[in-house]
Amino acid sequence: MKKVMIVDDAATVRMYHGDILRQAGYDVVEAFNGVEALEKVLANPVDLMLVDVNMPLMDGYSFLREVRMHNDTMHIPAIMISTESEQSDREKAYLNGANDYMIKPVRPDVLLEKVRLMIGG
Amino acid sequence: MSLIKKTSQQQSAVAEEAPLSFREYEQLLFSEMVDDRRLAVRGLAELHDVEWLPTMIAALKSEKDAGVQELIVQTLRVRGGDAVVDALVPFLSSDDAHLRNAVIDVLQQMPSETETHMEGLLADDDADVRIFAINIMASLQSASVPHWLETVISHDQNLNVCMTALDLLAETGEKNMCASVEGLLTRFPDEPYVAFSVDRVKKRLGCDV
Amino acid sequence: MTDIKISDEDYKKFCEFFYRKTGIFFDEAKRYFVDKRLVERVKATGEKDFRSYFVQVRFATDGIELQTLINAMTVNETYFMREDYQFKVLSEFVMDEIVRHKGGDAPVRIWCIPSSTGEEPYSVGISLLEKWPSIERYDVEIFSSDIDTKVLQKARQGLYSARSLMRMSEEQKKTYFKPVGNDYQIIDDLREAVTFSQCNLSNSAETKKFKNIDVVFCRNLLIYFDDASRRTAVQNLYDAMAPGGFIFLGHSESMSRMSSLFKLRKFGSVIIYQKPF
Repeated sequence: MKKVMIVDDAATVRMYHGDILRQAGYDVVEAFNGVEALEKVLANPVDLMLVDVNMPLMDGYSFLREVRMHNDTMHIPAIMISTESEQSDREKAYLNGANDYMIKPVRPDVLLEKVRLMIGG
Repeated sequence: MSLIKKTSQQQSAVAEEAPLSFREYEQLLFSEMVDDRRLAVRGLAELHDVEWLPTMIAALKSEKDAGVQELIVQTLRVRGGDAVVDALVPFLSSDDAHLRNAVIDVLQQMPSETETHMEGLLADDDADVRIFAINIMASLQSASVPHWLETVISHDQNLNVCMTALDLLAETGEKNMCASVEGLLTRFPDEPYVAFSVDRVKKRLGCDV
Repeated sequence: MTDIKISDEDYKKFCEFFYRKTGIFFDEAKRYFVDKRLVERVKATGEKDFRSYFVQVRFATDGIELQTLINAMTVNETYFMREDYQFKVLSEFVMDEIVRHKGGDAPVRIWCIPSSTGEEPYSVGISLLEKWPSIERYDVEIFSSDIDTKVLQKARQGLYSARSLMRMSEEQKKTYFKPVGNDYQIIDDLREAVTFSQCNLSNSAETKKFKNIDVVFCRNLLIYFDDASRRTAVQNLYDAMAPGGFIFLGHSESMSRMSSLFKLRKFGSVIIYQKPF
């Protein structure tokens, strides 16, 4: 079973994305911020990461920069999920190591299509 | 064995620094060396000079090192008071995510001083600032928190701001808010995320389903 | 006293809150354990039900009830070689990296805080003597601090019950302890090798005498601090540490509720934190 990590400080978001993915047959890991996500993904690598932008202590951009510096995690694909729709934020996400970019709130079918495209399953 | 015995050590680990003057610390505060700047932040905090707060805020504006940023805001928190919070609140609009986070964190630890800013922050033009205000509320003890959150979900035009407020209502809300929570379905129709969140919070608050 | 019940929704609400504050997540499987502890605390505080208790935990300014609750939800027991996978990482990877980086003859400095009754700093000493061959060539200083002078006195005395030594082999007991009645006392060489001192980690005036520390063991302490003291403590540790120094936290503690200043390093399957160079 492919494993997806959801990184977001809002419990509702983690549950919403988690339910969508679990119902489609993915295994789900959750993290509250960038530091916890790093701790978890270094301990147990995942197949894909959905990453929020603004989170306490370590935001999504810093998390992606860190994750790209560790051998075990540097190639794990990541979708950044932001509340911002501006082009500059999209560019910033890619520059910091995101492979794709979505705007909140996401629709279940769109999320699943992107996830399947990236890791199958 | 080469674990060092007591008699030979101790002194070596002790590094006493003679205190400097306000001007000397101020100079160090803008030094190239991170260690100097940390020393200056700690030294200045002990001097109780009237220029202390504006000096620290000026340093915070130009500080790029995450550790020094945190040390400055934590030092400001220890001093506390309305003037400190007044000076920190504008940093919520900073583009530097680490600095912003450090400020959110410290405002959460100064609930009574921060409370007075809440209504202003919730009316900010920038949706991100409104979201940060709700994040800060997660640690406020004020009895007004549920009321503020209810006002947000009833009136804020930005969906993500409303959803952030709703997320916190799952923890702080009461049954008498069911109508306001339900109202989000009318304000943001045909949004699966809104429907999911409303459903979750209604269950949590014990609303009639 | 009426029977206190925690509903499914209240349980979820509590778990989300506790996770946000501590990083410790309880799932449905832990329900019995968590419910029981919660009911005990509701009764102990004299609240009428879980809801009013939760308001108190969440809104009380002093944060004391939250700390008490964390205490009730976590196991805090001290014995020799507790969480010994960390000592293994210390001897197998961390020490060599430190001496390689430091160069010269400067001693490696290790600081255990909290010291508690001394099991941890002595365990560090024993593991280095047994598992780190280069101890023959380098000097190591072990400092150990606690806020509580009574436990420090016990630590200096180094007298332990058989229970504290449950993870030690017969060989280790013979080598590092001498029997005193039914108890065991740590040998003088080790007792003299650890410098005990009183220190409050959230007071920078007390921590500033510690400089250039290469390894910090700060296990099962910060999780019991309120948010403000924890932030201050982390800044104090940061200043006490040498660039590139390492910090070990307890297994239920996560840096994710403390700071983003430290880099994560993975040695084998163990993750520890490092002050950036």
